[in-house]
Amino acid sequence: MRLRDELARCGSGMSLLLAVAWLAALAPSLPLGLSLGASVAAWPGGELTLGEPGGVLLLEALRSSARELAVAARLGPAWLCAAALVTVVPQGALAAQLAWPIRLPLLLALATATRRLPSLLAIAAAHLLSRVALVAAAVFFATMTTIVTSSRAGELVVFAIFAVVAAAIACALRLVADVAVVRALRADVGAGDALLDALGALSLRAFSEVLGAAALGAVTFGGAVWLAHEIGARTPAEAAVSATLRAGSLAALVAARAVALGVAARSAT
Amino acid sequence: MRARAAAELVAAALASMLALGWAGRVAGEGGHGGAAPTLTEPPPALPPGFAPYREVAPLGPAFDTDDAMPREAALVHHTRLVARLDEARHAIVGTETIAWTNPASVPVRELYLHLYLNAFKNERTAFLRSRLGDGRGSKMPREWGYADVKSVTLVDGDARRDLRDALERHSPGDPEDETDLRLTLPDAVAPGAAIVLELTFESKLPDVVERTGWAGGFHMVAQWFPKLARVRPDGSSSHFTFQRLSEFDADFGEYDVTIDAPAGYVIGATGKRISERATAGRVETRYAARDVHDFAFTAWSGAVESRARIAGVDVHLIAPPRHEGVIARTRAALATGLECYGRRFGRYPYETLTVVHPPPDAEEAGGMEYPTLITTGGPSLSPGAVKLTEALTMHELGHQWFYGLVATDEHREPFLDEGLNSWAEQGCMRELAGDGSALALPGVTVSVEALHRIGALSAGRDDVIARSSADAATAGHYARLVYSRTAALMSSLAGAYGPDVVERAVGRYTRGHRFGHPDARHLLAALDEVGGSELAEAARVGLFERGWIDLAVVDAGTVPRRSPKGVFDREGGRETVTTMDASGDHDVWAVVARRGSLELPVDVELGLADGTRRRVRWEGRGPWVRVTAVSRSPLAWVVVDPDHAIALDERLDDNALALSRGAPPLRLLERLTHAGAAATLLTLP
Ligand SMILES: [Zn+2]
Repeated sequence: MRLRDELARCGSGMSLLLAVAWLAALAPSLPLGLSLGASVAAWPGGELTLGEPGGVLLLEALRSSARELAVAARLGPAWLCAAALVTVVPQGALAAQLAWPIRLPLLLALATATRRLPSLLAIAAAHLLSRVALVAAAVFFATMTTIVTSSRAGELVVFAIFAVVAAAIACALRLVADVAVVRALRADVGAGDALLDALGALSLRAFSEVLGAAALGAVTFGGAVWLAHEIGARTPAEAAVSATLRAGSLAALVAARAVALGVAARSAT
Repeated sequence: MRARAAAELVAAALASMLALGWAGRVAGEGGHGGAAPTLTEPPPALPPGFAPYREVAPLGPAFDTDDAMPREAALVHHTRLVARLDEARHAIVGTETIAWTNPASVPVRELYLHLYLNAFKNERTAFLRSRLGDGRGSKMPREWGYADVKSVTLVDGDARRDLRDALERHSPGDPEDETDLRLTLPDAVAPGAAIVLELTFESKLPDVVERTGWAGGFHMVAQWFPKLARVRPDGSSSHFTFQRLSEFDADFGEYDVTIDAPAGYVIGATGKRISERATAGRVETRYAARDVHDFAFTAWSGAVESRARIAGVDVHLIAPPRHEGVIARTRAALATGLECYGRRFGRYPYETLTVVHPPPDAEEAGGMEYPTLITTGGPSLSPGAVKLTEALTMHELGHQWFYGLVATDEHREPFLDEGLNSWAEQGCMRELAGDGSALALPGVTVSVEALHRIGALSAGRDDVIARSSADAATAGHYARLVYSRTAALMSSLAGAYGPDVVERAVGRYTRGHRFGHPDARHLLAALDEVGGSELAEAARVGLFERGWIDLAVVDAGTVPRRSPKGVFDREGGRETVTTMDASGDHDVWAVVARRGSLELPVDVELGLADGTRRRVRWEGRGPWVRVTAVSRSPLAWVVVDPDHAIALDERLDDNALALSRGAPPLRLLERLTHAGAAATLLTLP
């Protein structure tokens, strides 16, 4: 079955599942972001930031978050299980059904195709690490937003660099892993054409993610610096601008991925 | 001595929480019978002998500079030690001759000898029996340590009198402990009169548990010889059962020490090396130290040594191989520290300083102070952004003043050395590394002050700071109260009354009491003398009464100013005003509360809608204050303590109140988009 047909057949179902997964992931990120930002949010606009010299407020924010999160942590395991159920399971089911090149089913397919355990383990590790790096990128982006009221550009530069580097590492890892998969499979005569096509698309997509992450980083970073320099203190209008910038940067990332998937689908046909 | 790192404290807290939960469950299931649980409360906070500080004679401004500072100590003893290191048994065979002069104003017949190494003799010692939770000194030795006094002789000219039988165990309430021995002399010694005692002893070092011991070819030989307890002016002795958190208290004297160690061992010691003599396969190294109250040395096979002249002091650095980077950073910290501490608390009076960086398997020997010898620590490679090496060096160097030169009773009033030193360290670390004195990433800095603030608040109201080391609730409380809370209290006092005032007061105290044995009264008296009774009183409440503070902006508002409406009885008769006449001015107001028992002056800042700010000083006496002003512009926000001057302020999220309306939904939207970003990154296929 060709990738384009799969996309056409399951586009709406896929969108629904992704929306559910997204909301599930939102649930744990929201209290974290709110409690981290609470101590700064209480201060008048531009007066203080988490990155003020000496770190008094940064440590205070961590202290109060620890206090507040202690309550949330009691719900933690239940929350995580629920999030896992609504994200991993449906995605896995869908992917298994479609042979959609998502990590777990892909590895299963590969396992039957190549029977090369060491390289499979290496590929799996690379995928896992790439996800960890992506989470790190998300955390750095999170920190950036809480300190975006800063009147000094220095700290923003640092967090933006961390975020972009982490995202780039994540994508590069995936790219390396995917290329390795394609090479392994090409060497293996038993691999089917459709799977090879899918994997070619996968590498393309990984490449697009590097571009997407760079675009995301650049937009967020640029927006943050612009806010810091041009506006300084934060007003409701500034908060709105900041929110728009962030939503825009997300849209850029999603668009980059969509384009990549389109290219992949065409190349697979 | 260094408190445990914050991460270790957190881990220890988690472990003890788990342990408590488990113990509670077991007890709940129990009904094992046996005796009812015993309850032990700490004694009252005021130490015995604490009197109002106002009775202490003022030092006077002469001690604001080094000119009037004592040049040398009144020497109570001249001690000669010959120590032969048996490197295979990790033992010291020694002879000790003490020429002791009674410093008290009354005759003294009882002397006390500390045999600190007996703390590591068996599982029944007060040290190893302690129930203080995990942390430094909590592990059992794999090889026991002890000190045996083989002979005690009173020498009077040619006459020699054996006093072995006059030496008895004396750990009050603790018959099993052998760290505190009483020596009853045949006759009382008159004030100012002298006697000579000769002792022979053997000290077996444990493997390093805390401060002292061996690890492979490394020997940190500390608290190793029978040590006379300090005799106070009233003839009593500062002696105590050696416990896990105890440090020391001793009289100033002169040491002449010969260390006999195998050839090839690197030797570093208190004082100045005056000779070296090689004999068959061994080297005798002789050290002289004056105006000090302890003597420690290292004998270390395989160490790398270097020498440097830093700030006019001959510094001898001893470290494991491949520690060049750490040593370079240590030197930089010493250069700043010797100058900084010297300027603030009186110049460093000794010619030498020895710095020992113990090997990785003897970490617990690191982070300790002896006169003119400190031990540091830390990994050979650590990122320059983390200032652990520097802070540890700075802390231990600071002890040359706080306990070394100002010889307070570390056992009874540990906050006077560890606490004041932690505060002093903050200042010199700031001179070395600025705002990033603990962590310095580009754009993000964390200071030692900020870390002490968190430590101080985490154990804040559980106990007073001014507690003897023997009465600490847990090792964690000791670290957080004695070290961090004292530092944060001093920072708060400096923030409230001015750093220059507190610096001058402590400087006067350290110079005026150099080579002395002051106590908390003298510190409070110096604060009183320089900064006034409010400052001294705040310090007293903070140290002795679990003083705490939380500043908060309670409410605020703006009322436009206009001519009043209503019914008015005026000279021309009753008048009813129905129209109002706005002047364009505003009455702005705010109410700020001071919760807690610490009364400290603080700034309140009003931010107006037109961007201007107005600051006002509140003396902080009452429970709350109302701030009012007339302005052209309405009030936008209020902040109490905008500069974080009061480090002990328990919460900072209530220090500000913003009056701008309509922002919350947008801010929420902003945070939502942010959380959305995180979710998207996590879930996109
Ligand atoms: Zn210390």
